[in-house]
Amino acid sequence: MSSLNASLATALSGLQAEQGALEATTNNVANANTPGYSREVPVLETSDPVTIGSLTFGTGVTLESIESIRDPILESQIQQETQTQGQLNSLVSALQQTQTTFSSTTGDIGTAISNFFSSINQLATSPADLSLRQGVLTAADNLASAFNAAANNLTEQRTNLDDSVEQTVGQINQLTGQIAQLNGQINQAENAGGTGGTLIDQRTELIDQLSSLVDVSVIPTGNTLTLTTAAGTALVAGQQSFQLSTQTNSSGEQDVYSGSTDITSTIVSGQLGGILQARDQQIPSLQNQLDTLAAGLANAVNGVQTAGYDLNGAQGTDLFAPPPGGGAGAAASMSVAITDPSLIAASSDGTSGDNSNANAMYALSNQAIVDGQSPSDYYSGIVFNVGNAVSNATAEQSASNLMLQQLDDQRSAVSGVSLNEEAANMIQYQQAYAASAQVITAINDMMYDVINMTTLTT
Amino acid sequence: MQPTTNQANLPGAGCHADLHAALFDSDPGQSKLALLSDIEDGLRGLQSALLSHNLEHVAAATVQLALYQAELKRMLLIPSCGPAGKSTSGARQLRTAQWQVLHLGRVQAALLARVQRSLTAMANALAGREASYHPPASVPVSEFSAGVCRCRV
Repeated sequence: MSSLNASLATALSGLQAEQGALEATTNNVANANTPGYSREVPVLETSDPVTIGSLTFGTGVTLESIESIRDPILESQIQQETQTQGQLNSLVSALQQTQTTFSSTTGDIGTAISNFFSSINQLATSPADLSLRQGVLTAADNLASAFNAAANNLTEQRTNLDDSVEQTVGQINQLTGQIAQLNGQINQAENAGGTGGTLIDQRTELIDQLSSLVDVSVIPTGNTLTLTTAAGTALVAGQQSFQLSTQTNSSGEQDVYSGSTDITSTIVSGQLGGILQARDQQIPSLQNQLDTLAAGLANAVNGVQTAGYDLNGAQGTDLFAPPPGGGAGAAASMSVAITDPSLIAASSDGTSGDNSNANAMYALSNQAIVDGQSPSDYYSGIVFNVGNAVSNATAEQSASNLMLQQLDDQRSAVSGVSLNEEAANMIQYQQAYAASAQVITAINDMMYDVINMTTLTT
Repeated sequence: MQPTTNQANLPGAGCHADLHAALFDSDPGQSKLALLSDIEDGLRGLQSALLSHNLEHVAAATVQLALYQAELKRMLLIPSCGPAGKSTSGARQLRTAQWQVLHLGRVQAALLARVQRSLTAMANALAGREASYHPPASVPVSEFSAGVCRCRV
């Protein structure tokens, strides 16, 4: 039969195990509202039994470890959706800002085009009227200003997005450095027999933050993690982080580099992916369309203007400054080339009362002079495309938010702290602790009896 | 003999019948608004069913939306059902409802794409490392071999 001391040790193991379990519960309750915290559960195991003669005696209980409850597949889904959400957030924000450039206001391009052709139509009613001629010049000036303002807005937006690239890369580097440091601490904790539960929670939280900035693939490597971008560029390997950098390219914009490799085109997700998509695809495409419209309109108007005669009977000269060859930068550089209203070529035959050329110029408003479309239709197409892009991106963003909310709820169900459950656990561990303490009291009494018995015998 | 399947047996058919009556008996603008409102509710229901992986509800809501879609097509063919309705505020209401339905439709498409992706990932994960030409683990190999033999005969 086992000794009283052995029974005492068994009861003591119960006390220690229940105390450890109670500590896990206490920590859970304390972190009930901590974002990203995964609840901990004590893993209790029966201690190795001892065999004395033909009998086998238990030796109590061991608190093997305290484990954090996580679902790796769910974590991976959350990180993936967080990347998409980050990308959509920055894209929607950029597109909404772009949309304001094309929104219908008194100074917008659509209104300016309409006013310009309307002023020419008015001039056709009285081609020698100088005030009407001045009206055409003013409308042409407003049109050029509207193009300039829109082009400048887009350029400014691109510059702001370019600044964001640098800032985001800085944030990514900070996070990867912290994750690498935590990898080291977790490795140390787990090698020492611990689980590093809280540290893993911190790392998961940082990976979630990193996912919102850039596309991240998480590869478990022993006790640590390796993080790469979706295209395979290393960000963190164990305790080492690989810093990204930015370098100015030939267009004066920042490209993202890993070492000496340009990885700009491979980043498609996360906030950085959204910023790059807006800076390198969406806005340049709009700038091209705007340049096409400005160049098409200026060339067509100049063509009619130079074919006619001004109020002095001289051959007409360009109304708008000729756009650059190929049209690139036409919207930003659009300007009115004449200041004298009498130089407007309203006549086709050189007589001051003739309005044929003014009519021909007005007719341009309905002719396919910009990429097979009338100027107003082409502009409407641009506005529609911007609106459509915003609507699609907003819908994608809503879907992403809903999905992420759903996944977060699922994570809370798996890893979150239920206060009711913890209260029940607390009572359970408390009672088990009290029972073990009772056993120790009983053994103490028995020992006292044995000692007294020995005293009586001697 | 009555057909075994008719519209009355389909989910939400009572509501559908009421709607049909409303469409042709009252102001077309209002009827269209009512239909768009029902489509909006249907899309929201489908959205939450999809998110909670309630496949039964997804199937029922899809059937319901298909009925609404047919009704909408039929309504667009009626000349009196102009998009503007009778008043400017009515037209504005209608346009808002149309945008809302369009937005929800887009969100639904995006959600479906995500669910499809996650189901594909799950299917791949469950498929394991080997190709599925082997018998499933639950089927004794002997039975499978016997089946193969019978096929050859």
